[in-house]
Amino acid sequence: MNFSYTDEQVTFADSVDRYCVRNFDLHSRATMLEKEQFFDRSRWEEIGHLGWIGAAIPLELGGSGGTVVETSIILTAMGRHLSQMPYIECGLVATQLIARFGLESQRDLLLPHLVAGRKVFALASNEGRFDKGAPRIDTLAVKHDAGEFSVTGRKENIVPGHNVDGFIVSAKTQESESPGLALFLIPRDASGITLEPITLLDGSVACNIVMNDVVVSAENVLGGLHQASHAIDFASDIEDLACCAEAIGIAESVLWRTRDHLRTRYQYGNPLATLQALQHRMADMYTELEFSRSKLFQCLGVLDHENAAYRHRVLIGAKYMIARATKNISREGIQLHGASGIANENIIGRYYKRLCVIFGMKGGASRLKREIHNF
Amino acid sequence: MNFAPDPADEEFRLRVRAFINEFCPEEARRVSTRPAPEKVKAWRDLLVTQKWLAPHWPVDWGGLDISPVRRYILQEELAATITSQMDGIALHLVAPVIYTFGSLKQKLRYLPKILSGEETWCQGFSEPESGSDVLSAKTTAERQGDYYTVTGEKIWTTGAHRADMMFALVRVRAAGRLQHGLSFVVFSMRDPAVRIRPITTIDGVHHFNQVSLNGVRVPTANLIGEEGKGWHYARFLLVNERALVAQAPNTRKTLRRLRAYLDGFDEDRVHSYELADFKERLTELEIEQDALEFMVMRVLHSTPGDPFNDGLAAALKIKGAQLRQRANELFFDAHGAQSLQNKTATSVSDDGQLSEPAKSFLFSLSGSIAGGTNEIQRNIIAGMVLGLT
Repeated sequence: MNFSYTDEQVTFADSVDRYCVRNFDLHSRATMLEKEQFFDRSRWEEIGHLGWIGAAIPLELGGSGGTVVETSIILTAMGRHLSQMPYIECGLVATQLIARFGLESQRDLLLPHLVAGRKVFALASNEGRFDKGAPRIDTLAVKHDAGEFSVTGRKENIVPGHNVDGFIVSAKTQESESPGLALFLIPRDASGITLEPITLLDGSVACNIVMNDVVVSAENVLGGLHQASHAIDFASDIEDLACCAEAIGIAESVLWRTRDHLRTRYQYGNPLATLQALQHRMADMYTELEFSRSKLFQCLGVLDHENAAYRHRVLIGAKYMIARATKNISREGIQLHGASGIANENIIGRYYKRLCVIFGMKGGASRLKREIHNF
Repeated sequence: MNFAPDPADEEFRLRVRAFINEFCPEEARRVSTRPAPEKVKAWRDLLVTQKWLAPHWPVDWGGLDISPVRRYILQEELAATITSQMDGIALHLVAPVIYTFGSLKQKLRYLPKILSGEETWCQGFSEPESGSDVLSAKTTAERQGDYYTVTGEKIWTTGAHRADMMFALVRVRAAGRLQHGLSFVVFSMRDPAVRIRPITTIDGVHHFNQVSLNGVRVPTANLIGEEGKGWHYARFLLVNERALVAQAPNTRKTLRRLRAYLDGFDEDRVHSYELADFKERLTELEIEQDALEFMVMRVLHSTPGDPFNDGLAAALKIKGAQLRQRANELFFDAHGAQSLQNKTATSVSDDGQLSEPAKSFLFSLSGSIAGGTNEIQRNIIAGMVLGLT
């Protein structure tokens, strides 16, 4: 076991952090908010150029050949700086799905553009409904005689919204083996698609997708029909892992900003930092952060585990634990800021809202608890 | 970064486990009661021969040159046996001070008998007025010629009623002047000037004592190292125990027992919502136990002395104690009415009368108090990591 970064990883982490500090500060965020589209495609191409999108894509597929560690470095930095780029949905899940499960033709066609940041695909799986803790998919893909499919259904809260090139849509189909799911590559302007733009709690742009008999040819079934359940499970697991990694970064920022606040805020003639009760609450925040980080390390080690069911159990458990811990840290951060903690202009509240979004996307704690209960 | 256990380390673990399965007698596997020392002597002697009883000791004195991770693996595997009750105070707390700071004569006098179990020890640090604030200790050692006369009170002394020797932090007075620092001295508990009063803890068991030192004559040859540096020695070496204080192996053992209950679950006796609550609490604990074990690994791989690593060790102790308490509480709750029943008072052993689940749970409340309270750990974090003090 080894818990230290390599020298290359240290350099990489520094460069990622520096980029985030320069580009995701409050001013540029405010500027982005003024524009209609929150998802800045030119910024996305920039991070593609830096190699972030292809960080954990193998060299032979055009990526940088890194591991899940590089991925976690990027995600933690994005959390730390509230980048609110759709790295999880588009940079990680979509590219990993295509790289790991895509047919050669699909990989050749899409991956180079995705890794470069020129094109963007987003996973569209969430429908906001659950069955005994597991996500329920009602979107239906019916196969026609000529071999193409018609896809009908609705997806909810799909980040980053309409400013993408396509979606990877999960749907039920009788053509696939149990549990009868498949993934379809659908361009955003396909006939029969309606995109309803929405803005989420943390300011992210998303959309609801309504599909009415959207035609998808056979060669756009991702990975062919027999791989879909593995792919969907993997997508869910890697998304959970990514949320955990981002949450660690978010909690780090909350910890240090709160620490700085306690040192600089004076009441009754002394800085708040002198009050032992507050010192101890901060110590508890730190303890929860490091406990969560230890759990993240378990997750990073389990992503490529040969037993997918075991991998899933670990990651679901981690998401449950880290969601609660980081949200508690974030709540405490708000509380320890006093009145300024609930002023919207104070960044401290944004961390909490971001955590609510990333951990609420596929159902919240109750849903996770239900699934864990079935272990 | 590599999060997978080293295959060679796991192979070592399997060898240890196989050895225990083959050679550890049945009497030495039950950890909940305290069997007679003779029953486990053969097992102890075998461990000494393997150099597994005190692997952290220098090789010359019976230790083994293995990594901290492998030492921890040994602890984890041996937690299944009575080894965990074999005078950890002597093996882990006083011996390291003696072999690091003691003279050759002192090493020869004390280490072999600790290893063989011939002499047992107790720790005289806390006093009625000095708990967390160890440096305020008032026990004095008046030095005259070749002797100290030790006077004072020590409290919460684990196993004093069974111990042959005590190591204590005392304040030397020489030529009328009281020293600023504390000194580390050792002496026999058989001395007539030593009086012991038992203290029963909340679990109904006699672990602790108050020890009155009423002018105990201790040769100055029994001073370990230099006068005034006793606390420094003790603290420096506690660093080696940072991973153990989380008690992760014990907690894992409790969780395994609880998981096994689900296999023998009797549907007629337990309502389905009780089962649901039990499963939920157990699963949550298992999720967190994994995190705890990774935190232990992080501490084992970190270098002490770095403020961040000291903070991490403090956080580990807090979490370890909390998880142990929650696991034991679930164990207590799971046994329902049985947990509430005291055993019939026919036994004269010092194991008390409460049920096993009650004893385990209630004693686990000490985990967040002993060895540096959770509050002290928070002070450490606030100071060393957060820069708030």
